[in-house]
Amino acid sequence: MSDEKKRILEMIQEGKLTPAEGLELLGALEDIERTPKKMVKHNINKRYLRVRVYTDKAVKVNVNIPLALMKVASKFATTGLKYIPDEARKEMESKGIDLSQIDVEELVNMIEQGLVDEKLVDIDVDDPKEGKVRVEVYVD
Amino acid sequence: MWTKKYRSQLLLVSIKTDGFRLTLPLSLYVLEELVNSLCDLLELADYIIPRTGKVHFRVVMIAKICRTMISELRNYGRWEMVEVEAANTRIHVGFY
Repeated sequence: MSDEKKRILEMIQEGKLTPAEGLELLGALEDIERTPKKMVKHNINKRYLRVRVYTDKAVKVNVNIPLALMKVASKFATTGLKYIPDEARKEMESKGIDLSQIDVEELVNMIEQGLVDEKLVDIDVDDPKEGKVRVEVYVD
Repeated sequence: MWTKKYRSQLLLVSIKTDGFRLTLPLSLYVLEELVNSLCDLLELADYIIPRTGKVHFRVVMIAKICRTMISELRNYGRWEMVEVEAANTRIHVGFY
């Protein structure tokens, strides 16, 4: 039971509200809960999934993939996964990788709805050759 | 399409290493038309040629995916897709 409902029941018990008023409030509360929350959809045509690998000296990797393109590609991802040969699929499953569990379309939808706005990957590594290396994956 | 503001026309792949430099321009319009034609041919071939053995995929499906992806790739105007630099080698893929 939500805190709001408990509070209304307590107020009825304490006599601050009449049972009729309490029922009205509970009804209104249920109406609010039933209404689906509106997700703010960002314009994905101008958003990119960016992969950056920096060192102290320069940018080593710079990959930009438009989110709209990812959305189109995600539709084929499930189709593409079906064509993986059985032997390869079994080998991956033996290593604990279950491709059927990956829902690419759902991930892209989450990014589109702005649920994954922070950095998806942010790693700092000290490389003996390159020095400090930073890996970042984010949506911009 | 007439309603599109700007569609990419050129895919430019450039590879640069010590003493070697290659820039490969590829017309996206030509590539799109080529894949479109190939799709039609493959669809016809799919009906005519009998399927034998254990087939994991249909070539026509792959061609159709390529067609959709190329068409989608052209929608973003000018953008840089990949820029990688490692051990004196630099690879750049951009759309113009």
